[in-house]
Amino acid sequence: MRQYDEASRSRTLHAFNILDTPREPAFDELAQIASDVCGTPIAVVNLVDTKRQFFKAEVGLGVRETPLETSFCGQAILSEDFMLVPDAALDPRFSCNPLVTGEPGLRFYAGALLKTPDGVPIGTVCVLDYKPRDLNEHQIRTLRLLASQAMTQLQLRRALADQIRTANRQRLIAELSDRFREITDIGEIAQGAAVLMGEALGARRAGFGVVDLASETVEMQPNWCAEGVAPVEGTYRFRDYGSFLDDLKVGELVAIQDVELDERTRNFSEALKGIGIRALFNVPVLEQGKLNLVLFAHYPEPFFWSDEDIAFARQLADRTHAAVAKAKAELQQEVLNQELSHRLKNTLAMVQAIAMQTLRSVTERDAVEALNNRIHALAQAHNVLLQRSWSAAPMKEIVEAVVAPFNTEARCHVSGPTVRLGARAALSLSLLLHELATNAVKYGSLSSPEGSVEVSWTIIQDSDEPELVLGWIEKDGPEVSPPKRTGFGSRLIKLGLIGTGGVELHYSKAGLRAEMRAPLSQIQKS
Amino acid sequence: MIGTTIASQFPKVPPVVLVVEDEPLLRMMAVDMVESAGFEAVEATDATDAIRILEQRTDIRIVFTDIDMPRGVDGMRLAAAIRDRWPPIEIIITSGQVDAPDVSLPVRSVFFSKPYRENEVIAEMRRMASLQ
Repeated sequence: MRQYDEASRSRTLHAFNILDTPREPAFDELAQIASDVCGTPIAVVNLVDTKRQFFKAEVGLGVRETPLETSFCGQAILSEDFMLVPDAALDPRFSCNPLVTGEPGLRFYAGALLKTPDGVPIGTVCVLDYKPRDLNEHQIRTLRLLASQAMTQLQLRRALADQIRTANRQRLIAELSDRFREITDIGEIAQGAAVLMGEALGARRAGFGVVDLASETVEMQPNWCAEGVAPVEGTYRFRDYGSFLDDLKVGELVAIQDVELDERTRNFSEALKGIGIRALFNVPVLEQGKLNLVLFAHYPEPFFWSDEDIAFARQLADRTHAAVAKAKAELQQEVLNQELSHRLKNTLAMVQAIAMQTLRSVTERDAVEALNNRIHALAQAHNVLLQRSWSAAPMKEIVEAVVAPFNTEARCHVSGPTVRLGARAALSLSLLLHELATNAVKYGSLSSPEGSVEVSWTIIQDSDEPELVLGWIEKDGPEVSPPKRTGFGSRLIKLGLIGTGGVELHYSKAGLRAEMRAPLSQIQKS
Repeated sequence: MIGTTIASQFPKVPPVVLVVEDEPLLRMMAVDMVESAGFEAVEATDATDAIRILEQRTDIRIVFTDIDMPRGVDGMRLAAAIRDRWPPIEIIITSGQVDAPDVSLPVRSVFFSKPYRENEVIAEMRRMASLQ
């Protein structure tokens, strides 16, 4: 019983990827053994396609392909496991064959069938001679064994190729995942996935579309196209091209091998072919259970995907889905951050407004101004943190933002290695530096025209735990002495970099020298 | 020279600043700031209100506007509309955003992040008022 038709037999043969490949010793040797054992001048490992036969290996023939009409190994032979034609001139099946009646005058043929484990015949190992002859049992058995060996070779060869392809695809997916980590643009993610899918699955056109469920339309994004293939552009109504939208909606991958045969597209095949689609591969990307994007691969001819192709596409779809979800989440996080920060800044502005309005009649304007400035210092630190989405902020940026209002004449010199500050340390450092700068302008080096301030920091690795040491050195100012009264400002300074002290202050003729230390790990903690 | 002398003999009319801010407290503070700097302040609670005032009064010299107002046209579009319909008016924009928004600010406009420093905003207003 034949379990196959000619189309599926041809497909099986093509799946071995053996047609039109160069000679390989493994097959050449089988042909040589066949020739030696049978004592025939000609031996062939032969693969039979629908309209031609291809010789993977041959001895004594000199060609690698012949049309099927005149072939000995035609359709007929594929139905028998072994065929022996002692004298073709006497066999009614071959007596009229031009290869028998004319040049080269073949007379003898014996062939053993190449059959896949599923029982699909794809070719033969055969021997031929120019004179009639017979084979003994030993020769027949050898020929059968050689056919079996050839089949094993074909399968191994394919298994190896599959393995290499699978490995390659895994690598491609891994690379894509790496790339996805850097990409936050959803379109770029979908396009990257679609192009990879199209290339890996041998499509002629690939890309993605944005789905509008309400109108059941898809808006095609710019495509990747093989040479000479026109892109699909614009918006399309799914129902004008079949019913496969129903599968996409529930997250099912759609693989239509031939739009003329598949029942989902059979009645719409002309419309599909009109936009260059004979085979269609669609991967849905759902968002919260709703179809959002479709990755597509198009083929102008029928196409048959292997199970491995489908598995690959599924994997790709999962990665894409995850990357899109992550990008969306990051986008929302960003928006939320912006909104929160924005509200925080508005709240600070309102606190400032309330304070200023409340303190309007206070005659000690210095105190009011100090409050105002401290609120600003806090707002300033929030600015720097906000720009970093509340993660680590570069120390230099924080320091420069705080001293900027006091530094109109470039008399503050800021230097130090790159250190990232956690949000807490960034806020306390800002307030602390603000107090130091305010004092410097009022009483210290910045109160005299020649004075300056050196703000610098280093990381010291003395003990097990690295420490950040920040120096504030005032120069060329008036002589300073410790403040008589301990106000809020001095207390803020003494809290240090992380609110636990670690501050040394030296008041001298040269000016104030402050040194502040804290464990680096504490400073970088958020 | 003679013109200047005559003009300076007349009592100087304070330049008018239109303050557009939907948050009452912040609006109050902004008005205080503007008035304490010697300008005349006119208040608007949103962009629509501001447009209405601008259509009625011809003496407004500077518009000081928040750009995150929820109702009606937002501040950015207000600023653009002013630049378009009343080109001579100077524009100062403020916002809780850290930086000036990505969309480009109208020409001849200045941005301050909230909370702004009053002395800086006033200095800018004085500079603008002096450009006649």
